[in-house]
Amino acid sequence: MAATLADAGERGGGQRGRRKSPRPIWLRVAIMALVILYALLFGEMFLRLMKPQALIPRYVTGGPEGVRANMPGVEFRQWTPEVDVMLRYNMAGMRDDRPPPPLEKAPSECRIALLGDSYFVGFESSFENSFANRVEEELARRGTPCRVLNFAVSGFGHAEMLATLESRVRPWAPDLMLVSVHSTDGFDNLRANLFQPGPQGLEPTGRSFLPGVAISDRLNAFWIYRWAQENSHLYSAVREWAGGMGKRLLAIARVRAAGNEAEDAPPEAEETANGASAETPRYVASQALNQALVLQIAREAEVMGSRMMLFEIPMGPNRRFYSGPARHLLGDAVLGQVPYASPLDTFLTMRSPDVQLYMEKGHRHWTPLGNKVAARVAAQAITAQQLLPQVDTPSRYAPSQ
Amino acid sequence: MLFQTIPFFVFFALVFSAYWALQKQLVWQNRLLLLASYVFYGWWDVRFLVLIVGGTAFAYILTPAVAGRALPRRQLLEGLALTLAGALVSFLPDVANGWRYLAATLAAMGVSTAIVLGLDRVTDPERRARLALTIGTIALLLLIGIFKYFNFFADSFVRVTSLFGGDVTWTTANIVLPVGISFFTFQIIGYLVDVRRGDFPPSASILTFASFIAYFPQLVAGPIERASHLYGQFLKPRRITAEGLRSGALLFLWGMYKKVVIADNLAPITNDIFGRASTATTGELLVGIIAFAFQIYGDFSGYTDMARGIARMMGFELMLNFKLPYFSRTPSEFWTRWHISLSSWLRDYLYISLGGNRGSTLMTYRNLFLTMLLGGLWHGASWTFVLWGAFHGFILVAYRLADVDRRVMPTVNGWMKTNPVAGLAANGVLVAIMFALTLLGWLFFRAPDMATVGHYLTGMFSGFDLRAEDWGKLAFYTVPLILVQCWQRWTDKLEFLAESSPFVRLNMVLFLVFSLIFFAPNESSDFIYFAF
Repeated sequence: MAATLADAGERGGGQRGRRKSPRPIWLRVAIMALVILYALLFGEMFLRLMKPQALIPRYVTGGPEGVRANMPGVEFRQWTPEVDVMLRYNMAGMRDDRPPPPLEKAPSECRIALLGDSYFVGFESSFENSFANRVEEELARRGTPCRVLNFAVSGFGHAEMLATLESRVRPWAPDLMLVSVHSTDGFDNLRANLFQPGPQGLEPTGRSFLPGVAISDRLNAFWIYRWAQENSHLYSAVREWAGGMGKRLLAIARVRAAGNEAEDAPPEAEETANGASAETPRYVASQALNQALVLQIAREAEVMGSRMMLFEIPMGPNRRFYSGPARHLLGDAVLGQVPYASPLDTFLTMRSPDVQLYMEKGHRHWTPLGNKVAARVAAQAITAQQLLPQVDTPSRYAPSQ
Repeated sequence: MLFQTIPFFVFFALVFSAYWALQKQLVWQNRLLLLASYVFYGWWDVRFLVLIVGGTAFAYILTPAVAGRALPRRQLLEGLALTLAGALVSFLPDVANGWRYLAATLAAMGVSTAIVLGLDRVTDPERRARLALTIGTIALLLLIGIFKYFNFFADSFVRVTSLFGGDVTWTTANIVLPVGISFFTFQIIGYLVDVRRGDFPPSASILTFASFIAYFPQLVAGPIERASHLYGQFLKPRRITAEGLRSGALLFLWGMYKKVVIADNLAPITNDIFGRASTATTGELLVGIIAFAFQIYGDFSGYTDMARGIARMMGFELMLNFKLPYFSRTPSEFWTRWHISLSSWLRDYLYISLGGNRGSTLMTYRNLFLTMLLGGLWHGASWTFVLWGAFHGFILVAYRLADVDRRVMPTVNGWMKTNPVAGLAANGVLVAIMFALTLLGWLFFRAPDMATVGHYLTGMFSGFDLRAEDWGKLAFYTVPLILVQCWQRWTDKLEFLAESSPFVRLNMVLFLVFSLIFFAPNESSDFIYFAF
């Protein structure tokens, strides 16, 4: 048992009585700095030994459209307890180990533009195992070779995809645009605040959406920050926490600004919690935005002379349960208008404790098997729906209301 | 308001700031503590505030009679005023439903007044004291009886009568258990007995007495304090010192680690395995029961450490409640290390009152067994708790019959000096046997019903398949605790954080803080002992 308080107090008094000369301020500051440094080192070692974090740097920066873009020409490492892979963004900002093709498309050349988030980028996967590369392989195997140009950016929703279509995708003249539908899209579209449904259809707000980019751009100038992104478990933990918190706060702010003060949860939280029966006014409003964005992308694709297919990214919280967000986010009406494919049914048939389709110790991206299966489904749908090569058809997309 | 949650941190920051500002005004400090304690208690369910306030006031006006003295009218009025205030706060927010409880409280006040005035008419001080103590004890036990045991006995009665074709379901009622009722009523009973025995003078200050009963760090799950230990601390100025803040904060941190990291992470394992005891393998059943042993230890001792840490920061010292219990070698040693405040309470106020070891050997065994049986029942209104108490009573008697404490222990202790290897080995065997018995006891304690006990025992002893998914998880959460406890035992430093070198302390604090950040489950659960 420790000394009693009274004793302790007397001891404290005694120490004061001896009038120990106080430490100089510089020494106190130095000791404090050392303690902080030691605590950081301790935290790093603690996490490495007890709870290794997924090291998932993004390397995104601001694009000229006022939304995020991959940093051209960077090569970086992603590490989790399950994988250790190198990622390369080519000089056009596409996740690809090869240089970008010439901008001018040869007459017989086929191109697919991939628009999506980190699943399409191929996070936690080597390039060989990435969705983009697997789609290319599958199409070649089916006799329709086509170069996949990966325009996906981590964190992208449909609003950002739409904002970058003209400047980033159109110059490459893709024959087909493969657009992902992910559960985070509803949230991302809302917080991006790039477009709003208006009386004349979807209207740009004229704002930019660069969450945390200014800070990360500044920090990326320092080698220690770049090193920490790829190597520090403590940094990764803090970054994920701060990123998650920032996203949440931003969504709440956007919702409040839109006059929904009473409802703080992001739309997909309602959706997940309530399943198909989620029909709150805000949920309906969010779905309307998602629908308008997707239809607008489809119209833009048509203007570019390209076809478009939506591709659902199912959610897989464990090996026994998979679900798809597309119907909740877009509704049957949109899914009936735009070519659409989903690996959900295939995932469900493969459901087994021995089959791992999602990473389980990182950020739950697809495993090499998950990428392969999803790519096979995508390639099958592309060929079955004859989306390649491009054919001229009248507009099939109704204007947004 | 759980200690490890944000609302408590805000509450404590506010209370502590005001408490610090009132350092030189003892009376105001005590008033603040009383108010804070009632707010803390009312946070759960303001309706039950009347129970602690009424129990306190009743004991306060009864105390002079328990001491054989006449009741000063001022004391009577103070008690009645406190009860009335408590009843108004409890029931006025929902007067539509609360008016009948308010009326019942007024009636109880009338009865109490009649009793104490009646006791005043008893001229023989000895008889008055005996009568007052009996009435006080019965009234307080009745309070626990109604709120804690009524459902249990009514349900058992219905079940027994149904065996003979009777239907007495009308005797049942759905009574909610107020948090901490077993703790504060036992604290009040202990105080009355102390006054009766002349071990403690009767209180003449309702503020001090109510503060002593309701002191918030130990109000809902102990330690069950004695007046001789805690009451006096309300009478003299308390010093908030850097040392007290430091060691209190360290104790709180260690307690929070035990609760949040160990107990809350082991709880899902325990719940899962006890929930499917009939189909689990031997290995899983073993994991389940060992996980529960560490869960309940982390939960309860964690609560106690947090309570003691909070109190120490405010200049109070609460009694020790746990002393490395799983290192016990015999049942009697276990009960000097586990929930010390309850076991010593049972010893002083129940075992001794039953005759202790003053009668024949057989009577001593009977008293031991009965004390443990009632101790088991104190934990909850369920036959599994009764079985747990009976089991501990049985092993206490068995060890006593074998005379282990008087014949084996001195020999083993002697070996520690003459032949340390043999001494350590013998101690290890004794500790292992006692731990195995403790695990068996925890099975009765944790099982939701007797059927689960049956499934568990059958499964444990019917196979040798020791494989289980959760062995790794169990080891992950328990090994650091076991290592620290070995160190505590080896160095005989219970407060190892405060007493270790600055460098070791820094590393331990960092380990605890990072563990709390990265291993806290998403949802923290209530303390197990809040249900008792």
